[in-house]
Amino acid sequence: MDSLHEKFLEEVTEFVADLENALLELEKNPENQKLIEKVFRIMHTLKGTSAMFGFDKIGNLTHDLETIYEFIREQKTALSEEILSLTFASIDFIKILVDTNNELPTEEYKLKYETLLFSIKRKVDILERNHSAIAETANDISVSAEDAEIVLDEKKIVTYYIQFIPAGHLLTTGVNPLYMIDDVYALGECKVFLRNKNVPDLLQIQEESCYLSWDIFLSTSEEKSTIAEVFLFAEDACTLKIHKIADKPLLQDNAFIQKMKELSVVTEGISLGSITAYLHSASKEPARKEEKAEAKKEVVVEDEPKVSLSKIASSKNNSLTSIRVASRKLDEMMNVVSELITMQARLTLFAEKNNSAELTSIAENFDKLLRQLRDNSLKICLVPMETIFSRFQRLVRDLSKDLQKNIVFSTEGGETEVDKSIIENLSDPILHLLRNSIDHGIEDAETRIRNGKSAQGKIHLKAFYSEGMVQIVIEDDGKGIDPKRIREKAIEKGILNETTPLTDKEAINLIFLPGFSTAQKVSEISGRGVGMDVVRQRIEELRGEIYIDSKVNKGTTMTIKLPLSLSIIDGILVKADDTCFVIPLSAVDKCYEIRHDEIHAGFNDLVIIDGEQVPFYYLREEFAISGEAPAIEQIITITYEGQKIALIVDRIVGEYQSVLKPLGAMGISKGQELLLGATIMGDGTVALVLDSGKIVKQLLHKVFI
Amino acid sequence: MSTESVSIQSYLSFKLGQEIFAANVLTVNEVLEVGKITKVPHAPAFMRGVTNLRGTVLPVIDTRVKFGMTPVAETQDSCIIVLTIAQNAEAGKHIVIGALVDSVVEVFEASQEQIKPLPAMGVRYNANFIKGTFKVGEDFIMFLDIDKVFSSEELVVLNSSEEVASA
Repeated sequence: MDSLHEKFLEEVTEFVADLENALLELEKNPENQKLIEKVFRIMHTLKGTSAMFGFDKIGNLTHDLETIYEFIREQKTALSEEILSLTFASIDFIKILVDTNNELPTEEYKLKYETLLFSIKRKVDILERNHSAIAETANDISVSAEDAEIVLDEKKIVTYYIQFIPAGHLLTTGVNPLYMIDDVYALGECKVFLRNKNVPDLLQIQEESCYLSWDIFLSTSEEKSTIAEVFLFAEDACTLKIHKIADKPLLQDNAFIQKMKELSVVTEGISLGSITAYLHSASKEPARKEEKAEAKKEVVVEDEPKVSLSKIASSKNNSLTSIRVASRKLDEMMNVVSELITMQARLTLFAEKNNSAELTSIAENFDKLLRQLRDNSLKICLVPMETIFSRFQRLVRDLSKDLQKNIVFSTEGGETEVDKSIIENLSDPILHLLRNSIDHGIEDAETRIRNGKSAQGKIHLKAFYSEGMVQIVIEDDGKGIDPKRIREKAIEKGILNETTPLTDKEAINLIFLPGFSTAQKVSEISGRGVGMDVVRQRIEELRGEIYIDSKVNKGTTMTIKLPLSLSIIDGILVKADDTCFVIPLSAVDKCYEIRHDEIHAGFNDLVIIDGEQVPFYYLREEFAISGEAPAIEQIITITYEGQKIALIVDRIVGEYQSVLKPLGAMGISKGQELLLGATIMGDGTVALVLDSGKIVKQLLHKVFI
Repeated sequence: MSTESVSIQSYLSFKLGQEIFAANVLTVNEVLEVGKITKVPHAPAFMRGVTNLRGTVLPVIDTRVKFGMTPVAETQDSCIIVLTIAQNAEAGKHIVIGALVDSVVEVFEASQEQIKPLPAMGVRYNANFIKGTFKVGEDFIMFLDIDKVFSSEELVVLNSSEEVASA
């Protein structure tokens, strides 16, 4: 697939996301003219570009949808539920078509597509018939707010001055400005002056950049909005100003043309000021106030604030505020940074061995710079949560409609940033949790009212930073999870003994066990008993955790905690015998020394630290490490969820940045839950990275977390 | 990796104690010198540990233990054969492991006809692992079905039984 094609697909995906957001907003306030404009524009662009790339099926859908939205835009019909549903269905097809490269996977899809196309076409027919029935004598109300005059006389010719300044990257969007100018010619009598002052020396010309701009004079009976439409495709990539300069066909006036010719070759070039000045002096009678006021009005077509990365700060200097980078390149960069960190460890080791002051200082400075580089690179790879929030909006809308439940879905903290590789793997688990909330959590309106709640259910999704982790919380005010029922179910399924004592919290956490589902009847959406265990597994693969908290008839809260980055962690390097271990720094509180003979003198695996009793985890014993323990050992206290434990190791080497590597085939074997992974040390040996959270849990014998 | 289509294949032979085994070279990535192997706690007995393979972590399996022999300390001749193994569980997925062997012998060619099925008697190994034997002078070389020997399912199954045994 060539790069243009790829770019097209990327763009379509972006458009579809924009479209979905706009439609979801429109559903709340269908009168919002701005959004309707936006939808229309996107449809128009989609139609054009998809036809260009041979995606005729997308073209067909958007072609008729565009017509419908044009009707809405011109306020000839209102945005109905039916139209919205048609649009949403089309969006789904566009997504499929993008994934499958313009092929419909099955016969069933083909049929659905045909039906959808037919219903859209029918809608268009109905609209057109209705509209032609409405008396055509009614005056056209022009769309643009700046230009709210009612044109009574169709034949009235006015002259416009159009400044068309393409942005440098216009050509790369596949738009040819000359075709647009041709289109302007088609609207009436036209005179075009070229500005080529910005063309650099031949050697510096980049063949993909557009350096030219045009001053166009047009005498036409068309509306200003019609002229603006010509430039629709270039809208995001040009500065366009359209001014009405006279209420007459000025281009018949040779003197005016002559003057403009003169102006176009001087340095300042043609400008609105010079035109009005000339017209003012040329007209015997003073220009009418109205006309002047008219001249000041301008339609500046700018792109809407979008998350699109290719934004032109201003037409004068093409400085980019942000750029779009392929994920793959970021991955490559992160890999190189990781390699560098491993190299740095080698350098530091080498510097220690060779007592050269200069080498040591180089190594230290290199280390400092590398830390900055690492932090920067990590930041570059962060993506705001918003990017997946819109998907959830859509899901909640569709599902609650299907299940006929009235649900308000709100999100907050969309600006919270997470590593992109985490986000990619996060959307499925969250979708599943939301499905559960909608399907099992929120009751139908009648039940809710019976239980003294509002008829409308609420689901709230928020993301925020805390404790150096990202937390994502999904709250609903539904019926909650009943620990009693979970217990019964678990006993019935043989997961639990009847005699096993279980707190309510532990009972609720049973839903994370494989094959557990309390849904009375299996529905299309959830309740097949695959799910919560898979969700937990997915989250744990991302080195995250998931908790659940629920009160019957009050609702359920799911909390997901995730690390900020997957690949690089700050840790403390410790040794037990000659094996190196890395403990993530985020969990470490303090370090102490302890005499070896004190360890086993402690009662019940407790040591006294700062006057309090703390349970300890003796690494040598737990990991069956052979060899003689030193007389003085080190304690590192770790706090995890308010629980403090003491980890006893032979000695602490120091702070250590480590690049986390998966354990490969080791990771799939059992008994490795206590390890996050491994890291390569400066001397090429492998150190194991401990999962401090899991160690605390194991030590405190919490089976059901 | 189908072997039916090509009758002559190359094999890498290696020694464990006095026995000679062979693996299809298509499964072999490279042969490594033995560096420092880091032990992994709670790992099954045949897992020697992990080592550094140019910046990635390579799990090393002690092939002697895997085949039920007694483990020995590494010698001058010990090598790690890096193998790519198809994971049966998920089609198209591969894992890379290292197999610690006493010494690597040679790469030789053999045709399908020369490989005889395993005699039913007197073999100490799990017959599933052996594809056939090949007689060279006095020696029998045993052809391994590498994917089976080191398949991930094997690892996991063995793990759970090991755990039970050691618990």
